[in-house]
Amino acid sequence: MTTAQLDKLKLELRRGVLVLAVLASLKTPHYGYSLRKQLHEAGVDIDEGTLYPLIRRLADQGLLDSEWQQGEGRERRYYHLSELGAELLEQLIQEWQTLNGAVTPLLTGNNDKEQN
Amino acid sequence: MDMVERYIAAVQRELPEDKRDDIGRELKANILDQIEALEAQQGQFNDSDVSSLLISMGHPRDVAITYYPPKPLIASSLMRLYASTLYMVLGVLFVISVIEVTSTWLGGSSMGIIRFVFAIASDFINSAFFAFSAITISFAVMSRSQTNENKPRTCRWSPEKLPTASKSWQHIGLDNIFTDLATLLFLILLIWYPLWRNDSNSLFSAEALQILRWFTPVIGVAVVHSLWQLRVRLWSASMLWLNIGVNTAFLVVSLILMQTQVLQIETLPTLDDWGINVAQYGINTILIAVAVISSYEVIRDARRIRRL
Repeated sequence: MTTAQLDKLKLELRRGVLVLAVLASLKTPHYGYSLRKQLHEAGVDIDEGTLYPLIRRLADQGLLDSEWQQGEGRERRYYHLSELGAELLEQLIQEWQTLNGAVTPLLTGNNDKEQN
Repeated sequence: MDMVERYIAAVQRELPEDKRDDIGRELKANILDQIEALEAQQGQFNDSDVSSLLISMGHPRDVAITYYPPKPLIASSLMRLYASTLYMVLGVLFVISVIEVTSTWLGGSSMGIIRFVFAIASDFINSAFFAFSAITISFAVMSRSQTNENKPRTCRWSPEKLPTASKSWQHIGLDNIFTDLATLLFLILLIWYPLWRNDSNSLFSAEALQILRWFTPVIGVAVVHSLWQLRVRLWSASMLWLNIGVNTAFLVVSLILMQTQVLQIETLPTLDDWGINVAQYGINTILIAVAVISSYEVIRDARRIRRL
């Protein structure tokens, strides 16, 4: 497999997970850079060219609310989970846990052993 | 800071009017946050560092695309319908071009075979250009007005009523149908043209014309069969039998015509002896080609029926 193929598959794998990570992080309000920093510290590396447009898209879908606030001499846009976003996040977390529970045995090979 | 302002302005130029202020404002806040963080890390931050940061963010056009991805001209859900509509309309226009130019040619216009082909191509390109633009604009408008709740509905269907088509050859291509239709209609025009234009003589000798006129009902059946193929787009055993019948008739007629003087020499006054010989040789070659193609199709369809 070429590096380009691997990068493409990694991108596909990360796409949905990043949405989940961003929504979960925005239970507390963040502006763009602080959110990126928090995700980075949690081990989720995401470049600004992906993160900032993603936040805007989620806000356009009504999953995030936002407001401009003045601080440290300039303005920043703070995002936080909307009511709809919170509802959807709960469902997404359940889905993630179900998937994770189903896929983990497949990845570790425990599924075959149990069946045998 | 001037560099940042210019960068944001460059991104804004790539955005729709109503999004420029909002995205520009947010982009500025994000860039300033990054500069602040890097300043805290490095202690100093000069113009060269700002330039490096902006280069790492990407070309303004690429950044604008990430914030506001361009919508495709034709929505993906309409793409198949768009392609089919284009194919059908362009196919019909091609048939019409063949008929129009052939009528002019038979009406006494002095054009050679090359000019004849160019006239068909030119007529077709003229009408195809307009049709292509009109169809594309219509589908672009449909794509814009289409929302998730308003997706195009497909016809009523049920899995039980779907045709059994396990073989890939059973699917009939639109290009094949339109080529057949154009050829058949061209042949009908050649045969029957003198009937509705009394002033023009037939290209064919009286004997060949008699044979071809008797053959016309078979061509009519082939035209109807092609139109039916447009509707069903799938070979069935009965359609294959009909195709075998039509191709056998074409084979027999081409063999009979090979034994006769096909062209009427008097209608070719502009040709010298050499030209007449070339024309007759050309007709014989065409007849051999028709016989070979018809034989091939008869054998092919017979084998297909056995495999069905």
